[in-house]
Amino acid sequence: MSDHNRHVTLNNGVQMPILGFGVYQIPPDQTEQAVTDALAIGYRHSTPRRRTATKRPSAGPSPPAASLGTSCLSPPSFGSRMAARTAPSERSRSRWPDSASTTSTCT
Amino acid sequence: MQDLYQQGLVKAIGVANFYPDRLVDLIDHNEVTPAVNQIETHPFFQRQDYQQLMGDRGVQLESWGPFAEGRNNLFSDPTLSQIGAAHGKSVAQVVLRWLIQREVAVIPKSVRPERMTENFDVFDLQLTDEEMGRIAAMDTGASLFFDHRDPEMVSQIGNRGN
Repeated sequence: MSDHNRHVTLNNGVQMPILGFGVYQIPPDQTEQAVTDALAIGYRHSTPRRRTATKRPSAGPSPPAASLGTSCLSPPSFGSRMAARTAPSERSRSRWPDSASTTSTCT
Repeated sequence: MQDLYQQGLVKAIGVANFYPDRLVDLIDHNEVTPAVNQIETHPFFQRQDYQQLMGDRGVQLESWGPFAEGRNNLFSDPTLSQIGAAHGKSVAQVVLRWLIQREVAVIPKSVRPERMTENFDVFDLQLTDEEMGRIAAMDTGASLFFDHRDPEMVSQIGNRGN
C-alpha cells in the first residue's frame, strides 16, 4: 500500500484520513458493531451523517455540531464507548496511533 | 458551532449539502470557514467545478453516496468494470480510488467486514490519466437523489423527526 491511510490537510492544519467510514443509514442496533469492525480494519475517520432534526439513530447524546454533519468530530457515544472497550495503554499503543483524542479520529 | 470551535471542543467544523451559493454566503458572513463540505459526489455527479471553487475557498470536499447507492447500475457499469478488471479490483474500489486521486475525501458505508476491508484496500491501486478521463466522461452534472434547493424538500428534511 503505497500511500496507506493517507491524509488531507484541512484549512486549519488538522489532518484527516482521506478514506473514512460512513454510518449513515446503518441501523442503530448495528452501528456499534460496524464501527468496531471498521476500527479493527484500520479506519480512523468516521462521520455521523445525521439529518438535522432527525431522531438519534445511535445511542447516546451528540453535540449540536454532529447534527449538522461534521467530518472531524465523532459523537461522544463513539469515542467514549470505544474508549471503554479498550485499555488506555492498548489504545495509545495501537488503536489510536496518531490521534491525541479518543473522541476524534482526526489529528 | 463556532463557539464550540473557539472553545477548543471541536477540532474543525464541517457542513453538509451546501451548494456553491450557500457555501460562499456562509463563508462570507461567518468567522470560521468550514473545513469540510460533505456533498453527493460519485461518477454520475462529479462536482469538478465545485471542487475547484471549494479549493479556492479552503474547503475540503468529502463525498457522500460514492457508489450512488447503486443507481444507474453503477456496480455493473461497463467503463468502471473494465477499469477494475484491468487492475484486478472491484468497481467499488475503482470508484473510491478515483475519488482519492481527485483528493476527495470519502466515507463508504458497510455493515459487512469483508466489504469494509475491500473498501479500505485501494491504496495500492493507481488509475492512469486515461482511466481518470474515462470516468470523468461519465458525469451527468446532476443529482441522482434529490434537490436540496427545492423548498418542498428542504421543508420535509427540516421537519423530519418532529
